Amino acid sequence: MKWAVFFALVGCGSSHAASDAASDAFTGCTVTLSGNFTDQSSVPACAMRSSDGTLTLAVPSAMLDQPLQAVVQLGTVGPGMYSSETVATWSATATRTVTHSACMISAGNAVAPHGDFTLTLGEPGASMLAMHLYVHAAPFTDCGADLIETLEVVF
Amino acid sequence: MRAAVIALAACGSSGHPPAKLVDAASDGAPPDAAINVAITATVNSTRFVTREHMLAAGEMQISGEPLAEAMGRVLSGYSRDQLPTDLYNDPNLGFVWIDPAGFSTGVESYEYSKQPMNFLAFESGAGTSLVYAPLIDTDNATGTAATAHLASKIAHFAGLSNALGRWVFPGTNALGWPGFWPTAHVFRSFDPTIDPTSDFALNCSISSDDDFSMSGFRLTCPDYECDATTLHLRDRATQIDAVITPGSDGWSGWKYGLWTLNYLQIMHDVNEAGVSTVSAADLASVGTPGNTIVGADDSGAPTAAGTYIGSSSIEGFQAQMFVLELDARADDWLMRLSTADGATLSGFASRAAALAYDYQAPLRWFPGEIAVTETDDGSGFPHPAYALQSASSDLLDLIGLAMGYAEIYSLTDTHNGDVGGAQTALVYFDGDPFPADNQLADGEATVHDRALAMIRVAMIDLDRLHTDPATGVLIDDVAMTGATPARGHTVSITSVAYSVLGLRTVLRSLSSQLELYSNNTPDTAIGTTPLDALPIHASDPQLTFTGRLGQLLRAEGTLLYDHLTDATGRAWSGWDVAAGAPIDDTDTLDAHCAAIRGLFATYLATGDTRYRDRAIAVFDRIEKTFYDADARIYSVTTSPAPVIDVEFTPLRFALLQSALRDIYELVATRPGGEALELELEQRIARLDKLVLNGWDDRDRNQRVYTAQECVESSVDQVAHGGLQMAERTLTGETGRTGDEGVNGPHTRDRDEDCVPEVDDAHLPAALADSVTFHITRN
Repeated sequence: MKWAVFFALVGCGSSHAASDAASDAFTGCTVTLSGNFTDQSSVPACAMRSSDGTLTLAVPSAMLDQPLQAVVQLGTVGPGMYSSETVATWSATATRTVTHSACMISAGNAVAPHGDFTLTLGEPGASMLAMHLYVHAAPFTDCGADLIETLEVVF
Repeated sequence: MRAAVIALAACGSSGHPPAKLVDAASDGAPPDAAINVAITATVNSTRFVTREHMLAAGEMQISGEPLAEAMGRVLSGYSRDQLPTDLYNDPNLGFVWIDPAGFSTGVESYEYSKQPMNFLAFESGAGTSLVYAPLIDTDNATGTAATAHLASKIAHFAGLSNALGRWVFPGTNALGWPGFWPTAHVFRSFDPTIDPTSDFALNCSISSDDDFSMSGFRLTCPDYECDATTLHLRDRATQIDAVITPGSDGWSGWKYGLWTLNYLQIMHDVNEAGVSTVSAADLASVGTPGNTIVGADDSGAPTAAGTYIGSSSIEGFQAQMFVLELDARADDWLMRLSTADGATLSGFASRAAALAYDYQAPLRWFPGEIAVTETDDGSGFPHPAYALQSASSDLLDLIGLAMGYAEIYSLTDTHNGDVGGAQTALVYFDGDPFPADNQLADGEATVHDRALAMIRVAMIDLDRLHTDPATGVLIDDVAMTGATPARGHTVSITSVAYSVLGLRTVLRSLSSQLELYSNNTPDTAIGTTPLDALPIHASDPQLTFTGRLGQLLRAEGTLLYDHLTDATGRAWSGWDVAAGAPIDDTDTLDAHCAAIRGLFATYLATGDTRYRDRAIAVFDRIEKTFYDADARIYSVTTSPAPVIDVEFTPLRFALLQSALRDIYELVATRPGGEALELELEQRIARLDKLVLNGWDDRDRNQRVYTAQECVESSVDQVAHGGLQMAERTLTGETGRTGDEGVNGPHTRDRDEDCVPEVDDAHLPAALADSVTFHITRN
């Protein structure tokens, strides 16, 4: 069976999009992925913080079809430590194509399983997001042996 | 070509509060990569041991749909017949994915738990015939005259649920439903061998209610789903252990009760769509033949004309049968099957006398074993006679009895707004099909008063017979010499855990707090209950019935906390009141799992968080001490390492599954527990799939390769299941290849989940009594 998969990414929840607010991009981005698949990469920037307290990340990986999109609605712009225990609204999604079939990687308060994250927000280069995401396999798709993906981003 | 459009919505409130700061990092490291471990299995016994099986079935139900929902799954996302199996049509992700955790709980554990109950109650003949229960056979008729009494009642029930002419065909067979074999009391154990048909000649189909992702679609299934004739025990007389016990009746009663609460949550219309309410004026007419009552669904929208009782035509009918069977049992136990001398069976003088039973009355108790002899009077159902075989009393037996009748009582309690006070239950107990009650414990001939009487007698005797006077601890076994008890001096931690659970269930039921699956928030204070109106005449004259139950519960909780566990999370297998010490120093998985079940129940009953914290400590020790990460299986003891063999029984499975479930629902879903969720989902999915289905997903790719990954396939390369010996349509097994239904070629494992169809296994959709899993490491 051949599957064609189209993804429409919709970021909702806030009454105003993050891009409408003043934004603050972090410089530097080091990504480590492990678990279901392994990858490391560095790019000049992958994280942006808006004035309404939304942290948005576009995490690149050669193993993914598109950069992993993560949104964490912190509700505050200050530095500190946050986690899925203390943040009400957050999400992360990506897709990976394996032999023409889809593996969806997701976490967030609105999906099952939720996964989890911890976030240390500090100065550029001293911030880190660590997240566990679940790898969902489409029917007849072998997405690998370990279906938990661990993401670490230093930005 | 199929196209899946995936809309990913990261949705939330626009006005969410600012996040709180935290000072600790998450510890959710993924498990180690798989090493080359292979698991095979040997079935040690296929015997159906009723008490333990029904206890496990109750736990599996609670670990079914409600656990899947706790894990964030939307149940309408599952189809039991779609191939490949285990798919979840995720409404939040807009993506269909392979979901062993969700499917194994929301569909498999749940429905696996249902089918052995139906097998006992309606299909196998593994009990005494309901035809001859005195509550039904009121004139002591024999032969076809006796059968006619029950057939008439069944036809009436079928009319009320709209099963008449669909499932029940009066006059065409003995009782209306072809092959129907309703039981009163169920046997202690039996060989469950059966010879189901492979035919599809009847064009039989499962209700859409049982196939919730395809509303309106009817799945064609084998003939045994609507004609139970070939589900009877192959050679009943040689297969049964013709003994009934309070435990087999009690724990099956708990299971019947749990499911009946489920069936009575809603009514249905002529199209089997749910009906939540009707006008008060219409309630008495719900279920009358040809009625045109229009109700409202849960959104308030009008339903189709024609409203019937219960959640579907089958389930509304079966619910009536469960209530009737439990009521007939209660009538028998109270009026004929107790003893006052330890030698002969007799009964209370009246229901009112049973309700007034207290600490000063001459001792009367339910004996531990009653032998059944049967004669053939030509009715097609054997006529039973009962004789006392053992007068001893067993703690777990009495707990089971009390729990079963606590469930049923709640359905008759109109003060319980969401259960007995709901229209969906009132319609059962308004005079038709079952008598209405004045809500007092005054001995009316009603389900309400018989259930209360069973609770009263079971609990008073639990205390009088089983409480060690020196310590206040309940003891497992009591031998009787005449009417003189000789109490043992030990209690297992499993009995302690279920004593807490049972006492809590009774207290919640009597105080109108019991609701289906609503057991995860601490209970509120208990006011006066119907049984408190009747003095117990205990040594403390101020003590009420529920007051004493509360004392017993707290004593058991204290035993768990102070003596059967410690702060390191260590749990012991039992307590010896004579020695004032654990019964031994064994370090077992069972003890730890039972401790978790009992500690959480104590926490919920008392609100004291010390018990929850201790349960968490015990779970942490389980993970450190008993979990084998390479084989992804829990060992039974701490030695020898590495694990080579692990035996699973229904009770062990129930203890472990319920411990993982409770940790998920009471810890992982709380703020601060998120990091546990992924790990627990994997543990639960692995447990269900490996131990129940017998699927060892060795390569962890979530796809079954029968010859390599089905644990019992090594002999003949075909599926034999695991602890779950076989399955039926409710879990996706129709015995025909692919989606062709009646036209497909025969197969033993259509859904390729390692569990064969019942007609190939020659065994029911039920649990084996013992399976050993063998772990090979390369």
